[in-house]
Amino acid sequence: MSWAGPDDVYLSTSLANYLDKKLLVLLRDGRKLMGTLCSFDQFANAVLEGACERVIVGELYCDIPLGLYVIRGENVVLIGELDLEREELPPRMTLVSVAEIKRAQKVEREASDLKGTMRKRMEFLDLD
Amino acid sequence: MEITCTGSQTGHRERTKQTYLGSLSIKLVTTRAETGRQQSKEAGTSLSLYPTDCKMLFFSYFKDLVGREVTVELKNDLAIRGTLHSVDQYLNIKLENTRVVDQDKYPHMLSVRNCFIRGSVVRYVQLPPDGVDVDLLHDATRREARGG
Repeated sequence: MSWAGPDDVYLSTSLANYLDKKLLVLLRDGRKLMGTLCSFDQFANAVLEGACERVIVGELYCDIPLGLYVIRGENVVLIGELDLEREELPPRMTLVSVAEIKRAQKVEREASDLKGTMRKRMEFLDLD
Repeated sequence: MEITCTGSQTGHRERTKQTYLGSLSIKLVTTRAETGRQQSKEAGTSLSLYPTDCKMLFFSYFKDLVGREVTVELKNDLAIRGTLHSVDQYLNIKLENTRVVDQDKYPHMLSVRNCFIRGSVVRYVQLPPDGVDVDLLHDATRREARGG
């Protein structure tokens, strides 16, 4: 990430414009973190204040508070500026408690594991 | 070695005709009328002539595409359409006016209108067909292959 010189302000990809803004950070493992950007560097390492992880399972979502987070830049996929005037999520989604979302995650994980084992069994049969 | 260059002050960027450039880099200051912004260039590279030093070709190419509508497909299969705001040496991309291609699959991206995308996670950058001057790119690539 380049440091903006006086001439490059309009063309800059630096995260300086995002400082003190509420951001959505997508990580390589699929996690979605939200928080206020405190600082960054040329590797896209970032410090988020008031960070929370938004877990979405189907139509359910939950924000798990995390506090102050330092993110290593190599794990960052995308840093998005959240437009405060727009809805962050579609209205059909419902906020649930941490315990409930963890349960929903477990169910989803078990379903995909089951799907994985079923597929492995079918592959053995080599029907295609 | 014959080079014809025009640096226009009227706000138009003109493509220059070049025969052979080698490793010569020309300092030009071109003004470009693009929504009223002034775009100044870095020393050692030019906007309309793709340079021959290694690792800068696609950087310069993307700099020329600033302001165009592109779709960036990431390695995690997320595809984002937006206006190319800026690019840097790592090919990190900043998009404005973004919207996700498959919005229902990514509800968390609903209110994101500007984003910074790390260059290392980009799989494809889909461009408008008239965004590419193929001949210019071919020439620059050949020069780089020869000189690099």
